[in-house]
Amino acid sequence: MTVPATSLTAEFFPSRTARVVQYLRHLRWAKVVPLLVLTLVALTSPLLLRFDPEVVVGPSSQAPDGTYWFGTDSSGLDIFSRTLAATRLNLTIALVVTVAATTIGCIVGLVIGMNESRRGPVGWVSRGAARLVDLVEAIPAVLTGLVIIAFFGVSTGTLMIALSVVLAPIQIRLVRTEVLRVRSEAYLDAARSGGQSELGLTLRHVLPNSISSAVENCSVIFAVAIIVTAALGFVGAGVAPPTPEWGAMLARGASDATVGRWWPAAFPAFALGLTIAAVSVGFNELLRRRRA
Amino acid sequence: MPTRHPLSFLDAQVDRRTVLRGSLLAIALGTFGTACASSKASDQNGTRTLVEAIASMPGGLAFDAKPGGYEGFEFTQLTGAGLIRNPYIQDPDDPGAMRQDLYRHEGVLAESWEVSPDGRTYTFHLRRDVVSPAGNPFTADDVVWSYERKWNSTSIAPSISLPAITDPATQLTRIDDYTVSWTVAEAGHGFPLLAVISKISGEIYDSTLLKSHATPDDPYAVQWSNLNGNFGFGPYLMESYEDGQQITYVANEKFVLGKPPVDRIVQRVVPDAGSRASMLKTGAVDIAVQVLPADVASMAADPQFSTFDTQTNNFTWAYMQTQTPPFDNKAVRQAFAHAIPYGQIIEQVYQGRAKPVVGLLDPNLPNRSTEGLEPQTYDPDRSLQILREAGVSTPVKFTILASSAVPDLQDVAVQIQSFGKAAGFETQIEVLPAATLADRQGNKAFQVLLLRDMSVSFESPPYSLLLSYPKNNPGRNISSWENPDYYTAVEAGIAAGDSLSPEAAVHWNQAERVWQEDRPMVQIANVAPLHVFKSDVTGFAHRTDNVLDFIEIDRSASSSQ
Repeated sequence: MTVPATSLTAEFFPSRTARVVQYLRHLRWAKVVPLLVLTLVALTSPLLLRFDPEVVVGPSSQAPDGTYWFGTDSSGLDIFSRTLAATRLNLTIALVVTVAATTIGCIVGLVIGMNESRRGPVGWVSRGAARLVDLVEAIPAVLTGLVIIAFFGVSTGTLMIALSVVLAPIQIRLVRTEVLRVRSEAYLDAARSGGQSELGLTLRHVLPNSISSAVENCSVIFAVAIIVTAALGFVGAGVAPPTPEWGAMLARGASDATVGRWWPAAFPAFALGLTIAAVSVGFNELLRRRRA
Repeated sequence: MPTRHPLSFLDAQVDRRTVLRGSLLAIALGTFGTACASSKASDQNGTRTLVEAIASMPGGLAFDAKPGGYEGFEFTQLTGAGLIRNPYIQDPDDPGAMRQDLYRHEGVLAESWEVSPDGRTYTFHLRRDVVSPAGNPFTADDVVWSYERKWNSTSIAPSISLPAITDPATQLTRIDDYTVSWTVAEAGHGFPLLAVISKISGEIYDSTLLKSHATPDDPYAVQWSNLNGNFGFGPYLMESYEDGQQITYVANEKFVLGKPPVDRIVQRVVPDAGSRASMLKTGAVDIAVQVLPADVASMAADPQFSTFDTQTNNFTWAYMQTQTPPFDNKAVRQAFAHAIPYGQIIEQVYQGRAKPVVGLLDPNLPNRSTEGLEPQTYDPDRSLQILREAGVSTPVKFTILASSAVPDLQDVAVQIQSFGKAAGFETQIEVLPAATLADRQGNKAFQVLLLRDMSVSFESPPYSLLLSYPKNNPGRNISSWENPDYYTAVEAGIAAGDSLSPEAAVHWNQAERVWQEDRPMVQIANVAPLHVFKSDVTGFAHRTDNVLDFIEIDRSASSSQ
C-alpha cells in the first residue's frame, strides 16, 4: 500500500497557515483573553477616560459615586481616569523595557558566550563582562533603579533606561548559557569545515538556537518591569507627578487608606494585581510550546 | 534556565487545616495587638502620662547643631528654657485654645527686667535657686556662655536673631551672678530683641555641665549635647531615647515655673501621617501632630477629638527664584500671583482649615497698616494681561519643587498646575526628598519652591521682613531678592524707635508694598494647626514655633484615674 506524497508532506511539513490554525486551536483562550482585554484597554484608554487624568476635576478625597466612579484623590484628580491612563503608561514602559532588555540580553549574551573561553584580551573582556553582569544582577533592582534615577533625574525615559539596565542581566545570563551549550554542537564544526566565517556561523546558527529561552522569559521580564516600575513610583523615584502611574498612586493613597479613605490606593492596587496576573498567565500561554 | 514566575507561589499545595490554623492565629494576634494598642499606656499609679505620635526622631538634641524640624524644636521646648517667654491668652477664634500674646512677655529664668531711658539697654534680673537637672545652679555665667556657644557653632541663632542681636560678645554683659544686660544698637531693636530671646533660639544652657564635656575638637560640647540632651533648665527631662522608636520624658519637679501637670510624656515615632491619625482614633496615642488636613477636618466633627482653629504663623509659601528665568522678570512674578487658585487650595487641600494672607506681617500687629496691600486673588485674565503687556509669550513654562515629606504641598502643586494653565503657566512638578530639596534651595537651583514653614518671631516686623530677604546673606535669601527701597523702608521703621508705634507702622507698610510690587514670593495660605488631641486632653496653646507646650497641657481629672 502506498500513501500519497501530498498527504505525507502536509502531515509532517504543515504550511504556515496550518501551523497558525493548529496553534490557535490549542490555545487556552481563558488564559489569553484577560491579556487581550488589557491590551485593548491600554490602546483605547484615551477614548475611555471620563476626565483628564492630570487635571483637578472635582472635590478632593471624594468617595466613589455616580460622577467619580473610583472617587477622587487628595488633589481632586479622578481615580478612574488615572487608573485607566496608568494602564497605558505602565504597559508601555514594560513593553519597551522588555524589548530593550531582551535585545541587550541577546547581543551581550551572545558576545560573552562566544568569546568567554578565548585567550587574550577578548577573553578577558568577555569574562569581565560576565562578572559585571552577575554583580548588577545581585544588587536589588529597586536600589539600582534609584541610583540611576538619582543621577539622571526623574523622567519616563530615565525610568525605562534604569529598568532596562536592571533587567537585562537576566536575559544576558539566559542567552549566555544557551550559547555555551549550542557552540559545542557538531553542526557548527560542520559549518566551519564548509568554510563558514565565524561571524556568519554565529549569526546563522548560534543566535537563532540560543535566544528561545530569553524569548520565553519575556513574560517574566514584562511582569517584573511592571512591578519594579510600581515599586520605584511607590518610593517617589518614578514618573513626575501627577503623571498617572500605579505605584505613585499607591504611595499617595497609602496614607489615606490608614484612615479609611480606601479608594485612592485600592483601585490602582487592584489594577496592578490584575495586570500582573493577566500578563504572566497570558504570555505563558502564548509562548507555550505545543506538540501535536 | 527560566526564572520563577511572579505567581508561581499559587502552585503550592496548601492544606485546609493549615490555612484555618493560620487564620485563627492571625485573628488572635490581631485582636491582642489591637487591645494592647488601644489600651492607654498611661495613668498607672496615678501618674499622668500622655502619648504623642510624631513623624520622626529629632535630627539631633541640640538646637545649635541645626537639628531643625518639628521634632527638634519640640525637644528644645520640652527640655529648655529661656530668660522670658510670651504669656498665653485665650484665642479669640477658638474657645478651646490659647495662643501666645506676642506683644507681652513674662519671666521664666529671669524674674524681672527693666529698660534704660534711651531704650537701648535691657537689664535682666535672674531667678535665684534655680538648679539644672545635673544639679548645677543657674547663674549669669550660663546666659553669657550660652550665647557665646550659639555664635561659635553651626547654630542658626545668629541669622534668626537679626537685626537685634549681631554680636553677643559686645551686646551681652554679665553684671553680677544674677544680672545680665543686653544692649542693642538702637531703640528700634528693643522689641525685636525681646521677640527673639523669648523663643526657642533663646534657650539657656547648663554651662557647667557642657563645659565638663568640652573637648579641643568640640569646645562648646555641641556634639556631646546633640547626643545626650538634658543640658537645659526646661520643664521636662529626657528619661529614655530609643532610636527610631520613641523618646520618654519625665516632669522636672524643680522647673522654675512649677512642675508641669503631665508627669510623663511618650513621643512615639509614627512616620506616616495617616497612621498617626489612625492611632489617635484607636486610642493608641493621646495626641497626633502634623496630621493631614483632610484627617484634621474629619476629626473636627467628632466629639472624641479636639482640633483647633487658631490663627497661626504657619504659611504655605511659593518662593520664586528671581535670578533665573522665567521669574527674573518682575511681570512674570506678578502674573504668577494671579495664577494660583487660593480659594481652591484653601477649600480642597486644607479642607477650609486655612485663611488667605495679606502682606508679610502679623495681622494683630499694633497699629498695622494694610493700605495699598491687596488680597491675593486667582485672576487668570489679569495674569494673561500682565504677561501680554510685558511681551512675555505664553505658556510660561517652569518647574515647581515640593518636599515629599509634606504631602499637602504636592496637592498644592497639582492645584497650581491645573489652574495655572488658564493663566498662561505650564507647570512641571518635581517632588524631592527633604534633604535634596534643601540642597536645591541652598544652591538656588529652582524656579519655584513650595514650602510650609513659619516665622518664629512673627510679631517682630524687622524679623519677619528680613527673615527671607536678608541683605548680603545669599544663603538665607531664598529668592535671591534684594531691593534697596525695601531695606530703606525697614531701616526707617527700625529708626522710628518703637517697632509697634504708628510711626514705625508707616515704614513697615512701605516695605510690604515694595515687596508686593516686586513679588519675590507668594503667600498662598495661613494654615490652621495640624495637631489633634483626644477630647480629654486640654491645654492646647498655639506657639509661633508651632510645637506643643506641655507646661500647659493636661488630661482632664476624670480620665486620669
